[in-house]
Amino acid sequence: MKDRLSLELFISRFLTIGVLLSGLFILIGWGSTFKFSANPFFNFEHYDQIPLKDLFLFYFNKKDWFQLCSFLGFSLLIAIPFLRVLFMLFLYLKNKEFSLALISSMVFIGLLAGLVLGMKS
Amino acid sequence: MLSLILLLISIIAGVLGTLLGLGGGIIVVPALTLLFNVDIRYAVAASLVSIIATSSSGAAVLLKKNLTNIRVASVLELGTVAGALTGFFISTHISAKWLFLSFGFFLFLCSFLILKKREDHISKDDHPWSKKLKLSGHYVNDQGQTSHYQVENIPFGMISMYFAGILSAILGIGSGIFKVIAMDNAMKLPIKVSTATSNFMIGVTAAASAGAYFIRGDIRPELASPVALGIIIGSWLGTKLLTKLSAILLRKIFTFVLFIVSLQMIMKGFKL
Repeated sequence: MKDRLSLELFISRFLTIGVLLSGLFILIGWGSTFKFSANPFFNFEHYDQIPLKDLFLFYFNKKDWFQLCSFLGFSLLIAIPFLRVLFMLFLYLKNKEFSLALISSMVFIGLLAGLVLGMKS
Repeated sequence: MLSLILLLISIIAGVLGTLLGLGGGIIVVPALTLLFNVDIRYAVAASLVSIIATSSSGAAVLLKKNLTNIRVASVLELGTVAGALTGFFISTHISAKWLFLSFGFFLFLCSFLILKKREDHISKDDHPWSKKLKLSGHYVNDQGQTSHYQVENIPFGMISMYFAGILSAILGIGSGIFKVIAMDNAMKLPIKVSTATSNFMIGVTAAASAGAYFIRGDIRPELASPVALGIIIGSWLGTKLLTKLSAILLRKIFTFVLFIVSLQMIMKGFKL
């Protein structure tokens, strides 16, 4: 019971810190590029697929560090569930619960497969 | 100025999501497409990222209350992640018209499901997989008593999670409402445990497809930043308002709004 409580507390703290940290990066990025009069949604009325690597290179070459800060924030936010699943996998292995460890590893592989799907689409 | 309006709408989405046990996607996607004329594919991607924020914030609170069954979540996540990958694959092959129509019909269905009264179904039977994986658990009920529960019908639960994952990836929502119904009605988990466990899983479900959308370049900071920040702020405010507002009244108002928005999404889909 005590182990379960400490595990839940650890995951709870991890999730909170993760959200706050990613939120901070997103806020810095967005706040610094915010313009009162502009319509920032004009470019998104029609779908135009530009892969992340091209977007990253565009802002990197432009030295737009604040936009890159936003991307870092989103990367951290998306990474939170990945890390949470990885943590559970190691915990199940440590407790020798190999069935649950196998299931968690399949979930983690599934999450990674999502990234590959995104690259290929 | 438009960014600030979007931020405000996202805060409201976060508050309502927390009060009604829903993710923000059900409000954010229609707002982006109907009010700001954003292409639905960008709207879905922005919404999924905000759902990770909502889920993680909510899960952090619910974990401390010992309501979340982490082991059940670990098992069911296999279904939702598989579904999310399938949903992402489907989304790359269907047009915006069908996305609007799907979302509109989903909202129409939700407007009835939200009003459905949820009662506790506590099972005394444990599925063999639950026995092997030790998924049963205990929680503190409304009377302050510790109550033990078993887990039934895991295969059906997995299949339900698969379809919930598909919807999540295609529509940019958490699908929490379907997950809770599956865990509550089919797997016979107590409603509080179902809600907390669903909240815990939503982040992983959303991340499976959000990662794909992110790599594809669909998550744009100009859109996703005010949405994510608004949802985070709104979720926090929602937890403060939870005991001060009548959830029943909110549910009725929200149901009416959902119904109207569903009709608008369907009409927009037919026009495309």
